[in-house]
Amino acid sequence: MKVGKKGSLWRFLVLLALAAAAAGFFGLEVLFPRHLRAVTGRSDIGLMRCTYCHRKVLEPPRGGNHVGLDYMSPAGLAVSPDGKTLYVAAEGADRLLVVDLGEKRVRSSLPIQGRPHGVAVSSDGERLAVTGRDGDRVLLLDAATLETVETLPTGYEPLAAAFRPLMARNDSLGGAAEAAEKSTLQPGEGGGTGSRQENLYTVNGTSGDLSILTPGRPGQSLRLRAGTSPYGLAVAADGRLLAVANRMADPGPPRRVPASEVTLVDLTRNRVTDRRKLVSAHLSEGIALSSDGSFALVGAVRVRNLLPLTQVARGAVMNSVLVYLETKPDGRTVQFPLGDVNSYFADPSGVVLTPDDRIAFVAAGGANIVIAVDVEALQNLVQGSGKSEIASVGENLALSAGYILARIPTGENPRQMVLSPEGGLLYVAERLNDSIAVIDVKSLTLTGRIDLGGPKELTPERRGERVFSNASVTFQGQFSCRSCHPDGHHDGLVYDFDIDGIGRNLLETRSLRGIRDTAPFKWNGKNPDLATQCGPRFALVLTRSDPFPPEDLQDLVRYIESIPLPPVRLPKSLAKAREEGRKIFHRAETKKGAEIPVADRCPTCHREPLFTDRLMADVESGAPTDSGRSFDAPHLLGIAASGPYLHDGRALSLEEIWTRFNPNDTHGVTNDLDKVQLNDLILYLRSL
Amino acid sequence: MKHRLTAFFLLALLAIRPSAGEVSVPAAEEDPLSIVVTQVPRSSDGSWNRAMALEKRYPAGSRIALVRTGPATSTFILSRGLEAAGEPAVSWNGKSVLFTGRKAGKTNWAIYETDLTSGKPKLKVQTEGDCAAPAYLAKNRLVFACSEGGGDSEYQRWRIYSASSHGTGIEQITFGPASATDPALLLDGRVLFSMGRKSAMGQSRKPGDSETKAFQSRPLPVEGHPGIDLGRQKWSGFGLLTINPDGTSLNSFTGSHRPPFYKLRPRQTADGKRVVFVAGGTGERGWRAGQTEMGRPLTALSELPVGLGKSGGVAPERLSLGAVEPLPGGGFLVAALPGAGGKKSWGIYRVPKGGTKAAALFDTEDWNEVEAVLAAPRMEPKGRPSRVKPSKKSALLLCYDGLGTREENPGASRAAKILVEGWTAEKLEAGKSSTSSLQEIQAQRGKARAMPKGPLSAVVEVPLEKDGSFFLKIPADRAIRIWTADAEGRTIAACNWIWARKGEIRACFGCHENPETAPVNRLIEATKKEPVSVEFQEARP
Repeated sequence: MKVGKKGSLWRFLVLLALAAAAAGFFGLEVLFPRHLRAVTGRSDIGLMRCTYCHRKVLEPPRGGNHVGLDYMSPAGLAVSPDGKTLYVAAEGADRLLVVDLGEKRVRSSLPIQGRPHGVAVSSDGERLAVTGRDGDRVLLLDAATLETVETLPTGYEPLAAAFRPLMARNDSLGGAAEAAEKSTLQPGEGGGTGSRQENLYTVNGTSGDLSILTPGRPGQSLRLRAGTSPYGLAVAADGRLLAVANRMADPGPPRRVPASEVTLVDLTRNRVTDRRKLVSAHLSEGIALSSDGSFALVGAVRVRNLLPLTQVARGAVMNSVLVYLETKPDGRTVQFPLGDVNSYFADPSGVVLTPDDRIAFVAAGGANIVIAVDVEALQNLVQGSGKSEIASVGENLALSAGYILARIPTGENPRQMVLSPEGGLLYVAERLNDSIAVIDVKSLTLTGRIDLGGPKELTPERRGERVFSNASVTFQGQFSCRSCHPDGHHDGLVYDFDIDGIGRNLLETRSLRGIRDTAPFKWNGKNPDLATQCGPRFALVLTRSDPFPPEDLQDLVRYIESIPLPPVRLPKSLAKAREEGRKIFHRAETKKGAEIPVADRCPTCHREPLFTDRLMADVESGAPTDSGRSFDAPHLLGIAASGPYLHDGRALSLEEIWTRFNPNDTHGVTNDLDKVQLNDLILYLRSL
Repeated sequence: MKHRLTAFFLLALLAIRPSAGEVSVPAAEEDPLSIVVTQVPRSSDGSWNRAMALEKRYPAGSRIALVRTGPATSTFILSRGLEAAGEPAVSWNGKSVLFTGRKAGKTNWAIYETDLTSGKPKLKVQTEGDCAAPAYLAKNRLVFACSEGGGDSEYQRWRIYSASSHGTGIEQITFGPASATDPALLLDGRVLFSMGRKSAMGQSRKPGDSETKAFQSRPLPVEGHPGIDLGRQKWSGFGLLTINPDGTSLNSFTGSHRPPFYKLRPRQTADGKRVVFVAGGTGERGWRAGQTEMGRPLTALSELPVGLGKSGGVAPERLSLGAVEPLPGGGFLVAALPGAGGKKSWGIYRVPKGGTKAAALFDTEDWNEVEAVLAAPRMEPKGRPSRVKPSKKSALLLCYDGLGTREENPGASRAAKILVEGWTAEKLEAGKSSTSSLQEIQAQRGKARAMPKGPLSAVVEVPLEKDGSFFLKIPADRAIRIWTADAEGRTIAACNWIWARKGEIRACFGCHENPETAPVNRLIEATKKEPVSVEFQEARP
């Protein structure tokens, strides 16, 4: 076959195109303007590798533990009334462990699906309650046989659980209170005796409420709104009061002082009686109530996110506090620092109080320390202080010498704790060590450790989780990665990093859930991978100490890549509305039939399966203080739980993105949608 | 390899032999220790103290020696070939020692290093002035103090510099009219040092007519000022401050306002919980050991009991202490002259862990042992990433609350603006190190000589925001002092001289605020605006 000059030219062009395509797939950047314009609707994208878009992407895992092996990762603890048995919710291995405290070993182990987190024992010791964090239910077990007696639905993501002490209630409630109680819930009415008469309570992190459950009567459950992301709860010994610790600050404008809530519930009426604000404090995971319910102690992080992050020294970013909260109406709320001016003991978690109300213990998860606090000293300081002094206690870093009794070293990542019934021994869940530390309360020393039997081999992800949860990488141990990304998620706050000037480029903390394939990172898209994001510049900007050693950095990246998305939680009744929302998300025309330009369609930037095209986009969300106009298109998976929204957190809800901050249809064409359609769209997004 | 090196080191230690002419006093009944001591001739009188000029502190014949204590005491000289030496600092791996030394016939002091087995000192850093008080930083760097050169060194102003472990890449990290010396590395990576002030430094302006305690109305001329010759004034006190190894983030540690007024040669204990130092200026009580807690360094200042007072049959006021050095397992080494009670020479004592009574560890008849450091490996502190940007000439300074002096100065509520005063531009006076280029040194000398002496009086006015905040762009590497002033320009209060390094973004939480407090979480008004640029008009006073 003869090939003329024209044929040679075509052949050359075809070969050239094939070579370019091959180069693109082998990592070289090439220019395909027509193709890029067709896909993105934009002409401003220059050279790009084909594999930037055309690559194998796996949708991130949903729920569960993804650190390679079934580590126990103990969460909630409960001790039997006779003090002989410790129950451990092994969240990482989907098991409930029964520990013989006499022999200091695991006696039996029960599989429980859905990430068991909280565990409680009824006052008679006959019943156990175990929450399933991913299953949105609580299992009621027979403590003797470990057989499931009942499964009770809760709100989304049940965490801590507690029974209401039966004996105390019967002894202390007067007739009026009893009558009032009957008007709402009467769990014991017509029932048997023992734990079956006790109410059961769970706090539900994702739905933001408190479930009040009546075993044997699932129809009588009640849910009360708590604060944002409730995490811990405590019931007073007299059974009258319940207090909830909430992890995140209440939604609010990004540049106001954040405040989280301690929710107080009158159990005689099942009513919220107070929503006490912890000003400038959040990330509360543990709470304890005094025996008479007159005060609560709450661990928290006192954060300084409104100040530019010019330094870490002197608590400039955050410090751990123990909040002393008088539960009476208009009672005082005082935040006592747990660290001092040169050390900070990051990530306060579990809080317990001895039965005589004299010593409080706080687990500092990021410092591998349990802190013993003299409660009487706290009370003396509260009594002797005026209003203005009380307001500034949280900033007084020299105070703690007056009330800290001891700082007791533990294994990796101490979190939840429980005291033996007589208060002589403290059991501490060493979450990333798969063990329970035993601390003698009298001598305030570590006296033993119970091995929970998890895998001894440490996977890179597990090592990375340890790095992630340990504050030693930060100057003076002030915070860990977890301090802003609790459980791999986010703290919902906006920070002013000083690296590009002060008062400029305010940025909301982004969730780390499901981000494995969503590079580049940072809102300005400058970090091509997680190793860069967490590398030396991270140390320069944030931790102000030596960067992560290379091997730690590698492990840390592996862990962050493994952080799963939360389960999708959508009632079946909303399936139709979700489908309508999906159509709106993918629509190419307005309601009036006008074509929506490719660049303005939702799936263009939020492209499946990760719902991001990983490109920068200008949706006119930039503020005058921002250096650039374009921002990294965030992935939308798990977006329901990652508010506030937009790069600077100005949209407090998904609705606000379009109702307040999209007046010109620059962030998708949405202004032709009516309220129902917008709700459908949002419902669809919340289901991702 | 590591084990072989350790074995070699241990063998070398065992092989050290007593020098001729040494008469050792039997040590206390403790485990034998290898220590590096400074020995000064007994001929020097008993008035030795840390605040003396180098020439008096380490007279000719002073030396550094490695001593093995115990029944078989041995001494090995580490400063051979030098006329005088002192201030030893042992490296993190315990294998070498930095010290201050002077060669015969030379007038200035330099930094030397020797390994503990050879005892052959190598010159590390030398300048036209004196260099002293060396210490090891993390990441193979050194830190030391250098004087401005010339004159009686009791009156000299010292500044702190860092350099590579080879003595190259010298960088000035303290600035301003105060004297900075005795740097030591904290476990968190910061440099703790002593900063001396002269009483006149707070009075460089002529007091005005209406001066009161509450409101010191001092007219501050915009141009020119009387100037003060600080050169012949003694330092009135040394407080402890911290900086990062790159000179950024100057902060008060104990400050200088609370007694003892001389806080010198600070050292952090191995458990990180305390800082001990040599304390002076306590009137008749002489030179003693001071301590404070890391958790509350300002409020926990106290005397460290070493048991060399009454319990040793010696009146406490007669104790003179030269150095206190924490031991890795707890306890301290103390160099002291107990005074009466039988002892007439300085010796090294050991305070056991948890104890308060020192036991004699090493003392010789011919020498006064005035300093001691354990010759053993220690944990190397963390590093701190440098925020200095050498290409920049300016820095940003954000003050959260210029009204922060309100409790001390009721008049502060009348503050409407600040006046920013600049100290003369500073350069490394001279640099000569083992490998610095000659051209670089000559260039530095040339610039240094061109500099005028004394403070320059250029003053820049900046209005305060409603919340008391202000935001400045200031010249880098240059000390400034900030005065609050009322609307008429009458000064109310001033902070100490501070500085910011090139490209540093520095925040002050207040003016003379309590250094043991964290800032309040609030939106700072000044951050809503661009920084006010502060540029000084250079002029001789």
